[in-house]
Amino acid sequence: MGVEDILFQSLSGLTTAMIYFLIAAGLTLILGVLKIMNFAQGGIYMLGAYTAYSFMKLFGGTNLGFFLTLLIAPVLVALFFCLLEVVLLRWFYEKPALYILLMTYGILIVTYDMARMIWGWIIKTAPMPPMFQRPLEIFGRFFPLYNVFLIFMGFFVFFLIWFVTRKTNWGKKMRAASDDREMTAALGINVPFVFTSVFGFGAWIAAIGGALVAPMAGLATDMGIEAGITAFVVVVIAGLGSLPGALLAAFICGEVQAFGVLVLPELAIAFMYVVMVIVLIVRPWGIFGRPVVIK
Amino acid sequence: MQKNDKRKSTGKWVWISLAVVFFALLPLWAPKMWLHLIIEILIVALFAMSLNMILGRAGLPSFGHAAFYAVGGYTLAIFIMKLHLPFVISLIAAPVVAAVFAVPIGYFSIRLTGIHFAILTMGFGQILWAIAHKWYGFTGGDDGLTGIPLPAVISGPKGFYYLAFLVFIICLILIRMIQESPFGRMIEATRENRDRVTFSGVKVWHHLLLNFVIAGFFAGMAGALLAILNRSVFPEFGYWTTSAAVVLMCILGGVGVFVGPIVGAAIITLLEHYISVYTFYWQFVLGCLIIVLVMFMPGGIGGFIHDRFKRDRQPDSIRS
Repeated sequence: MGVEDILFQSLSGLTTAMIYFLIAAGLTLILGVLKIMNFAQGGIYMLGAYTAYSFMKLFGGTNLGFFLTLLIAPVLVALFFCLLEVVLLRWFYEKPALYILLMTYGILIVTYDMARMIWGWIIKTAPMPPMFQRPLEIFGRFFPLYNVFLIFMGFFVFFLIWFVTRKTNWGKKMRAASDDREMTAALGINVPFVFTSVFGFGAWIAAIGGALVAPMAGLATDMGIEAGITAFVVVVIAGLGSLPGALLAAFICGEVQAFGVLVLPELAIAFMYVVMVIVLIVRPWGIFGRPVVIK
Repeated sequence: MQKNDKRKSTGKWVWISLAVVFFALLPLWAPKMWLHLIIEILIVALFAMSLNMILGRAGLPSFGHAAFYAVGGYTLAIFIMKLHLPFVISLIAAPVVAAVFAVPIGYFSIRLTGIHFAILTMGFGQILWAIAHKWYGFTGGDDGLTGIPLPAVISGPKGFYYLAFLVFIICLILIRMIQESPFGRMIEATRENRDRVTFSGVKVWHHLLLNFVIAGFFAGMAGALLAILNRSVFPEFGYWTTSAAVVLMCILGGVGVFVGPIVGAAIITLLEHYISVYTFYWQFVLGCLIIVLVMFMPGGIGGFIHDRFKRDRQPDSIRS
């Protein structure tokens, strides 16, 4: 195995890593601010993918249609989940973690069957936009151009979250509400509204992840349950609520996956969990986490 | 007051023995379909009871308990089909092997609480699932192991009903005894205040690990029975959704009540059975049910009824 092979393999690992990151980033944001574990995240990702599929079909698989879909579909899904947050979730933030876990698990399986009712049981494939249909030649091999776009979008979303949470007024409110809900509320900030908006933002990230994956892979309703657990694993390796950690953890998982497949193809689906168990045994609070117990 | 208590406990025993007699005589008149359903409920109820030793008694939300369920089932299948051992030995070996698996998993998980505990147990469970899913030579991969040969006595529904019922009753008595013992009380105390129990000189960690292993033992027993019922084992026995479903059963029935998990298991199994007759979208109904339950009955159905009848006792809470 030459240097070029290793570089090429790590590039495909990076693609996987970006998908993992997009799934996990919303979860880590919600976890960091709202201090809740959102099982439904996988369902949001799945709905994002299916909604994007519908819009891409509607726009006839053109380049413009693809970018319009990326603008519209995730926002619609995010609004839907904002509504769910207002109706169902916001009453349980102060209660034991188990209730919110069950509640979001309930939402997950409802979205799962909802997608089946709306889009049916057959695996769907969204059209690949024409501008990404040619491959890119790297290291003497062909790498799909769309994967390059996906990697770019991964970094874009990372910087977007960083910018929003660190540089905007809204981000300041988020961090304040995350640190001390009561004090923030006493300062006249509408904390429930901030929380709803954070949940919506987190949902938007998961949905855009789904929308970006839609042209690459067949869409099945099971993808939500798989993505949900992937997001979990990445977030846990990262340390609960850490954004750079999520990027690093996604990167580790993606690369371990890409190179592990070459060595032990049978156990490819287990690599991520092995990484997680090793990290948790050495550092139970994750790579970037603080050793505290989160409710 | 004492007399009243005595009368109350006699009444309880009458009800329990009536229930036992009822279930023991059931196969004489009940149709086959019912027997199958009741066996399934007994198995799932045992599984839920074993989880409640961790979830309800120790207050640790395990999301990987299905791993032991699967290990139990696979042990039975592999012992009979690959090692050609007698049925009885395989049945006894299943919970033991599950308990052995619980030792390392518990060793690492018990140090954590709350979300971290949930996720680490889930991670271990997923690793076992992934291995079962891919190791075609030994576990049959995603096809599972089908057509487990069984002795003639229990191959019919009646024979197996009695076996399952007997195992269920014995396990239930054992679990009750463990929970009422000083050991069980200690586990409960660690849930309420782990630091305080530590300061009183008890090795909390040993207790919790032993509790985890015992729970794994009973889950393995339930898994072995499930393997007999289906005459096959599949990797999905150990998938994280199975773990989540059994957590749900415990919560639904009420973790603070001894029979809560049984109630939850019965309700979910019956619902699954009857709703899936009418619609493919049984998960949708289940999801809505969970949402309604969490909104309006956070103590579970068992806890809800319990509260109505005994206002003096608070429902046991779950530590996050």
